[in-house]
Amino acid sequence: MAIKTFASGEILTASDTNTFLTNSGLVYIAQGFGINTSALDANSVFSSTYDNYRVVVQTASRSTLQYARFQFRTASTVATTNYASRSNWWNLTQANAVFQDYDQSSTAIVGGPSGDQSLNRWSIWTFDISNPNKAQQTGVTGTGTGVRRDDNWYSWIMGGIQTDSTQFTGIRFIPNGGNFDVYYKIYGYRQS
Amino acid sequence: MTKPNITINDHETGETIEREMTDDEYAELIASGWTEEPQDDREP
Repeated sequence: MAIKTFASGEILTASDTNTFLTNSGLVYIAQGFGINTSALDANSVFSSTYDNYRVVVQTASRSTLQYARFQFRTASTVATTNYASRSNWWNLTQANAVFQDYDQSSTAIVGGPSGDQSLNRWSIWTFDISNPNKAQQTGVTGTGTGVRRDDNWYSWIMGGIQTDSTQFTGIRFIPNGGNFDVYYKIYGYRQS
Repeated sequence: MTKPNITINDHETGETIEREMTDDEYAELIASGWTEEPQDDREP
């Protein structure tokens, strides 16, 4: 929908209101969760309706040494190759919040440490996805903060690409091992 | 052998499924570097 400008005194109709509600800056698409799972699929969330998406995720680990990652998928398959992704972590527990750790992968987009379910401490990330449903590479950039099972707190920046020209329709959240709890919400960026 | 669990939210049908992974899904998970006990396998 093109941006519509109203004149002073003009009546805002129900149709106009509904049109704006469905085309606001970020448009809600879907939410879901998985508890004590090794993989969580969100299917049918990317389409030609939007080019770019915002995803808000929180995770809590059921295992030690766990990092949260995600992959793109179609209705039938998950892309497990052709990623280039890295996240850099700053340790917030230390006085100067030094750069301390990282994750990197060619099989998934990486985030950060995945929280600690036993302590009810969650890791929260927010990231944008560009063009997942177009026949071109898909890009990701984002940030997060959360706890690792060593009880240190981190913030991180994350980014990556998936270079297949697949038109993805979904996303799979995974840990690097074991199980975790995941909650997500997905929004689309208004097109115009 | 018991395989890990997967949760599937299909936002077209509104259906949510929680079940043990199929062989293909388990193969995808292993191909992604997943291990039963998480390992510090990060690439340099």
